[in-house]
Amino acid sequence: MPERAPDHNIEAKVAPKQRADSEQETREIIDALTALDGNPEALSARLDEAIQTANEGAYGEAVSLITYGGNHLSQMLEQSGMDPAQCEAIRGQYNALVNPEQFEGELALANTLQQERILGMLKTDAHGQVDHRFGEYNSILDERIQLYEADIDASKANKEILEGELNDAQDGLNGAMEAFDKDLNYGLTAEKALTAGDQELFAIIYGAEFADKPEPTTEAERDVQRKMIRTRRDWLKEKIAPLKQAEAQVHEIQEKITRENTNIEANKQWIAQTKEERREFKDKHEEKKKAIEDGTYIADGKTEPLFAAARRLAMGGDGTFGGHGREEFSVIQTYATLAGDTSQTLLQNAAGRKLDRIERQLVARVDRMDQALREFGNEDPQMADSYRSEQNRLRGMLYKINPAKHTPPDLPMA
Amino acid sequence: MNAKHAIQIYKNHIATLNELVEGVKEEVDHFFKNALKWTEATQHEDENNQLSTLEDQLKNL
Repeated sequence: MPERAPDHNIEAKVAPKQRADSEQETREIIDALTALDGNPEALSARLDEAIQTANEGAYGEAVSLITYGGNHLSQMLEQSGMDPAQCEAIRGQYNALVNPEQFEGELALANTLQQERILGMLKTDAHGQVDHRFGEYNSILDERIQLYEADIDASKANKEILEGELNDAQDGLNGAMEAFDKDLNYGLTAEKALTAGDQELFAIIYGAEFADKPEPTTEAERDVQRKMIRTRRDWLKEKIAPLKQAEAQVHEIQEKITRENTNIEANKQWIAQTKEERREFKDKHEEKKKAIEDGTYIADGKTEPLFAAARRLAMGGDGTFGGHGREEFSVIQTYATLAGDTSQTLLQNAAGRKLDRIERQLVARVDRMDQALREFGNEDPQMADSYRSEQNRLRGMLYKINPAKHTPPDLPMA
Repeated sequence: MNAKHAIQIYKNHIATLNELVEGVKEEVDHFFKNALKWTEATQHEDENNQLSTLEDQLKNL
């Protein structure tokens, strides 16, 4: 009687140690990436390296599992007492369903999806950065305009007060002028009285001894006359002083009003200038947004093509966006053929499970390409054609996997 | 790109890789479960054959 087959639980034997190593490594890489914050180039390079290492690790783990499983299967079959041809057939099924090439295909697909996701993240990141800068600068400009407007309001309020003061000062000046006129008339009347030879009045004012001598002849008389002139000058100065003061006050207030007007005009000009600056900045912002939509990555003050950034940041792979995954589809086709051609339950079940997973991946990929076409289709016709062609091919796969669920692909152009 | 983005990209990628490796494990494991049933079925078949042969032999005695 054949011995019982070996334990089939592969995961329990292989996974734990590698998973623990992987967690430690992940922590170290996260620390390394954190330390490189603020240095985008070094960060990208480190991320590329980490993803590449992770890919290699995952590939190694998969190969190890597949090899271990293959050896385990051989051992089990040898001990099963089954017919050698039957054993060989089962080994063949195992090799067809579980093999490193197939895993490599899945890995390539994952990398492609990663690139597309990074592309989306880059766009979001770039939009976020330019929007943030736009918002920040716009609020500075808004604040500046508000300050100018507040200054205009303050000047207008000052003007209102000054205009009130000017009215008062003007009234004061008018009063002073009126008073001066009166004084002047009085003075002129006095002078007229003198020149008319009102000796009596002259004598009353200047003394009886000068009553007969209006023209000074002696030094004493000239001295009296100088005194008279000084007296007249002092009198005029005294009478004109309030007038000059009132005029100066009016003039001072008028100057203040002029300064406020100048300030209002200057603020108005600054507001216009700032609004113009804001318009120009908005235009530039819209240009940047369009550039991002057109496939330019603008972030951290640097500009580069979005696809180049995605390739650089994703895998540093084969340099062709969407170039991965060809092998994957040939593997899918193989499974689809196997599922359709073989009647063996084991293979059908395994292929069925695999196909379910692949079907989901293909549907997601077609959807993602739809999204990419919506986003970039108009901007990059060459890429759009390549995406549409790829989508058609994928739809062919889906139709082959499940004709009842999926529509057939378009016929190829003649 | 900042560190936060890079870490998110890395974590997502690792999650994808884990999923892929889990897929392989699942595949291998499932294969074994089925193959085991096959070998057990073969064993039962052998035993049944042996029993039939034994019964035939007994009948012919």
